[in-house]
Amino acid sequence: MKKYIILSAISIVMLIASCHKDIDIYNADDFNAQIVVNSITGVDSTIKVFVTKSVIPGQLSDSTIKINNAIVKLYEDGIFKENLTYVNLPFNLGYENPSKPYFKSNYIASQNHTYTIEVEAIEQKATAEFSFPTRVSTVELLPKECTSFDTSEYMNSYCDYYLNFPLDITINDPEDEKNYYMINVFVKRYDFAYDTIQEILYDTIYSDINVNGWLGFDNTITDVQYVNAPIPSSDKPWDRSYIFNDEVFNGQEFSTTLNANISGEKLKDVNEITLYYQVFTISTELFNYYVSINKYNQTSGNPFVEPVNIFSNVEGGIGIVAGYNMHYDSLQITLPDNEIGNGK
Amino acid sequence: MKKISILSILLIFSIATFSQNYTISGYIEDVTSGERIIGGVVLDADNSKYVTTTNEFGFFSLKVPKNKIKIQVIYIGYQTKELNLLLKNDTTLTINIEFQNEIDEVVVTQSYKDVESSQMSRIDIPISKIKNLPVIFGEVDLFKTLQLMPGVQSGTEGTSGIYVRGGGPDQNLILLDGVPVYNVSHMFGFFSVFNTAAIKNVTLFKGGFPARYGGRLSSVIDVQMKDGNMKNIASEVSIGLIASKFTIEGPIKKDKTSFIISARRTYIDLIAMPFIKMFGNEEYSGDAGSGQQYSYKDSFGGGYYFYDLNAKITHKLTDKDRLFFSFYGGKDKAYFKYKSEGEYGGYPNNEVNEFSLGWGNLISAARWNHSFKKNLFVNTTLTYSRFFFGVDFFQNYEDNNIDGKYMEEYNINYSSGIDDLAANVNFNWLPNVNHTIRFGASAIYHTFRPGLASFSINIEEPNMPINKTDTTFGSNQLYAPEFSIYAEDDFSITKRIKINYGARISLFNVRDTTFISPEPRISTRILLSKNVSLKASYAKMTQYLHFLSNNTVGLPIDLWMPATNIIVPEKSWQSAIGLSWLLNNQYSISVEGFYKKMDNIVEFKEGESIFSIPGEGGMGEVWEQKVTQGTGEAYGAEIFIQKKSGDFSGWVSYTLGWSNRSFENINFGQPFPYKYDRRHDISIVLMYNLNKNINFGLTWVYGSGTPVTLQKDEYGRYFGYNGYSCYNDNCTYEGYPYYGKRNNYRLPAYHRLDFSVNISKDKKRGRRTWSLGLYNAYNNINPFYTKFVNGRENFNNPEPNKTYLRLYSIFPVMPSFSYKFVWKKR
Repeated sequence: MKKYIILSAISIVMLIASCHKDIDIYNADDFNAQIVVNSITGVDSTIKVFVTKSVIPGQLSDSTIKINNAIVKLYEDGIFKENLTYVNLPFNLGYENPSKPYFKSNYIASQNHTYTIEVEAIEQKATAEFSFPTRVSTVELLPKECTSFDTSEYMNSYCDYYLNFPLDITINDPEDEKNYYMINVFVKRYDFAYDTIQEILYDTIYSDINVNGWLGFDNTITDVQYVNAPIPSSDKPWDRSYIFNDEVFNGQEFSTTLNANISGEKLKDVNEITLYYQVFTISTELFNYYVSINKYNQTSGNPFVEPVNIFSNVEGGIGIVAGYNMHYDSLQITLPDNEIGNGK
Repeated sequence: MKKISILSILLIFSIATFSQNYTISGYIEDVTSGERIIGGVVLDADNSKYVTTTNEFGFFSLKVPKNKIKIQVIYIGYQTKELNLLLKNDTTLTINIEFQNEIDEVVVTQSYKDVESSQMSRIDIPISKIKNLPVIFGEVDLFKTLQLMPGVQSGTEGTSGIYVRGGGPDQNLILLDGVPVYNVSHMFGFFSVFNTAAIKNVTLFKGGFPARYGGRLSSVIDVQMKDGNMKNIASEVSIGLIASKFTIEGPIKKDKTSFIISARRTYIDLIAMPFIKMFGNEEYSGDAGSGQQYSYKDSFGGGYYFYDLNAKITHKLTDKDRLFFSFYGGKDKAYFKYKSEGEYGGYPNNEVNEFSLGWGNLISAARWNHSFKKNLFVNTTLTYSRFFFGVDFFQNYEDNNIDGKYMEEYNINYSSGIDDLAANVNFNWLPNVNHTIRFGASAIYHTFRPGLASFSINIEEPNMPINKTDTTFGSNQLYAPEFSIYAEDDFSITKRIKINYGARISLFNVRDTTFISPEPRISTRILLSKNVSLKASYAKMTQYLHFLSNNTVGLPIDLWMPATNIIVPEKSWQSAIGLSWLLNNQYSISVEGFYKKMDNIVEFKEGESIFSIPGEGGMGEVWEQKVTQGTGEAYGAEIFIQKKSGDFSGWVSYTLGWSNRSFENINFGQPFPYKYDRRHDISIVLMYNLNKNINFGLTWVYGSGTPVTLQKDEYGRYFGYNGYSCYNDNCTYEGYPYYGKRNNYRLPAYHRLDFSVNISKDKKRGRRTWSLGLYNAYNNINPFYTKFVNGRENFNNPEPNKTYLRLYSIFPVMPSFSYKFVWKKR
């Protein structure tokens, strides 16, 4: 009897163990790496191009993707301008990670031109084009005409205070062209390992405010959001940008209300706050890229969704090469005299 | 429209040419049960030109030019019956035929159906044969048999989904007694809802659709329930590994009114219950410090079951009138419960979590058959079909302490579904021996319930006002009437040439938008010799219902939604050409080639799925913006070799197919292979009757690998978090996958061998049968799902840092058995 029990147990174990098998689909001998080119450039600035290569899934590291012998050429309207210079700074002060190498132009890219980046590396050639969209002509950001803010303050379990208030934003959308917008609104803050705006990262007014440094938006303009824009959410900074197109207001003045909120432990000690805002016009490619990366982030690991391909506009390779234009300004808001905003 | 006009003129002209003769009409019935025979052949024994078959209600009408005639009545598995008639007038008959297992008359029936009929791409599924095939868990399944037919492919391993000639699972019109069934899945798709004990006949159309069928793009699966035994009480019970069923049928009034009831239920929950009780309860206590004692008693519960019930009453009003009332009700339910009771520091502390998921169908039909005169038959039907899906979640948490009671209670319910109320009338007119004309109309009132959620919260805290939220959100019901009319004529132009031509016009209205679709249909047959015919067909189809389904698994949460002015109706046209050959009066061979073009088919946009939350742009509100429409193309060839008679029978089917999809917003606008694009699909089915009591069944299937989208490369995204700059050159990067084209990789080929033996024995009170089976006999790993794993997850792997694709199979070699007992008829 004992023999049968042991045999049965072995059979069951074999049966369960045989319910899966591994297959090797990433054979290094058959794998062809692709050139990866990433460059997002603002108008009237030099061009910075990151060149790496793709690897077999699971093998990604600084060393495996590194390409240091690439030739990166810049063309303006089809005319060769220069070979970009390789920049490899070993470390950044105060940071654990070494800097990532890149290629930099001396040439300043400007409006009304088309730029071509051509990369030769790992016996391949990849090219991509970009130009700059028109800068947004009129931008107004105002506290909603109300005189009192919705200071529905309360403390959460982390003893943070929340401040909510609506902001009216107005954009004058040019006609006869498809426009894509990205809006960032933020406050300056004390210390945060990553932020969206490098030049103000440490330029903090409220040095003791431990805020998240960003504003969240309600779905107040659902008609637009559901047309093409991703819903700002999740923990990725680019999700916090409000990205949309002009499909429903092409050629018109577009106004909407952003419902902003700020949180922070010491928020109760302030009575004035400065909001910084950027209204970007971005290219179609950059819009598609942000939408796809947002979709990817939202669905990654979801077995019920087909995998999302992150948008690429690099011929002969992978990556995004695009341009943007930006309107940048600030707005000072005096908080109402209440328990939060009266400086008590 | 022009095509339809021409067809109409042809129809009228051709009918006008008939001449007056004697008409023999009536029904063919099983002598022991009174069950009417579908597809029985009635012919002039001296001149096979005069031949007809019974329709789906057992009715036939044969016009002959002489008054003295010997007619033969033939049906597979039954003794041929001959009648010598001397006709003075048109005659109405009810012809009884007797079941006899070992016969060869199959040849005549087969010849008529396969070679002489103008219909192509049609397969009749013999229910008696289905019951002898190997099965999984001892549960005979109709759809798993359909998967063994040429041009029909299975979906995910072990499931009952079917994909016909490159179409999707939503493109199959599945009818139970003429009523559409919207969700045919039990047990998350592993079984279909059709209980074979209650089924009389199944017909599959893959192309060359007659005009009487419409509403789906790719196939029609017409399932007819048994009428019930008019003469004797008959009953059977079947006990399988996971489910049992009981069927009883008989006369309420002999030869006048009959009934059949068949019920089935799983007992997975009952089998699992003792184990859950054994391992699902836990008691624990201890000291939490500061002199605080705690003690808790936790219990887990959960399970799954499905049941279904088929019932039908048939009543003969007169020889010319019959009434039928049929019903199907079925439900699946999965549930989970967690309860924790105890106390902390002397205060009670309780928690309850309950979750349930349920879905099912409810179908009913009232039908009236009437033969107005010798050659006109009418079937009038009122039907109701409902598919429902619901999720319930309840959570209660109660914590008491020195300040008082803290309580949180959440209640969430979500429901969706579709209701159809329909009426249709179908005429079957046989004006002369050269024409069989069908015409009719139908009206359906669809009610779509895309998803409604209710949500309530009740929070009580010490010294705080009660916080209550009770809200309902989601989308409103959508109503859509659909109307259609059709006419078709099966016309023998010459002895060699026969055509079935017709048209269907349908109309669909939703949200003040009306769609009208004319759909011409034509099939032709040219007899090349007595046993060989050449066939060709063309059919245009329209589908007003879209099926929103995720791409990887089939769940009842998938939604049916109507065509709208934004997401317009799906359309297809299919043409096919084929050869039908009866070889040595034993083997029926069919070879067909087809091409199908589909327009406006629906797919989720990249990154979208059925799992959108109502209230945040939930499916019901914004589904039209989450899907995209594109085109599909499918083409291929099928070979089907059958041997239906004798101790040794079976079939071999082979399909060579391509199926591609193309969407502007998916795969960079480039065409890509459909997820069930399968280049080669082979089924071999063998059945052998050793003697009266023992028979064997063997099935081997092979399918080319399923295409899936797998990551090809990984690359670094190399710039600052804001996507446009880096701070002081400190750029971070993240690894991102590069997939390239959709469905860029093919999983290993699917193949499986199943084996069964049925051992029967006559007992004093009836006949018992033991069925033993082995599913996936050589234990091939056919993937049910896949995931990437690191090499180190496999301790035998010499390359631990490599990434592998792991294929998981949920059905390794699976033995099964079932027991059936059929009581003697009384």
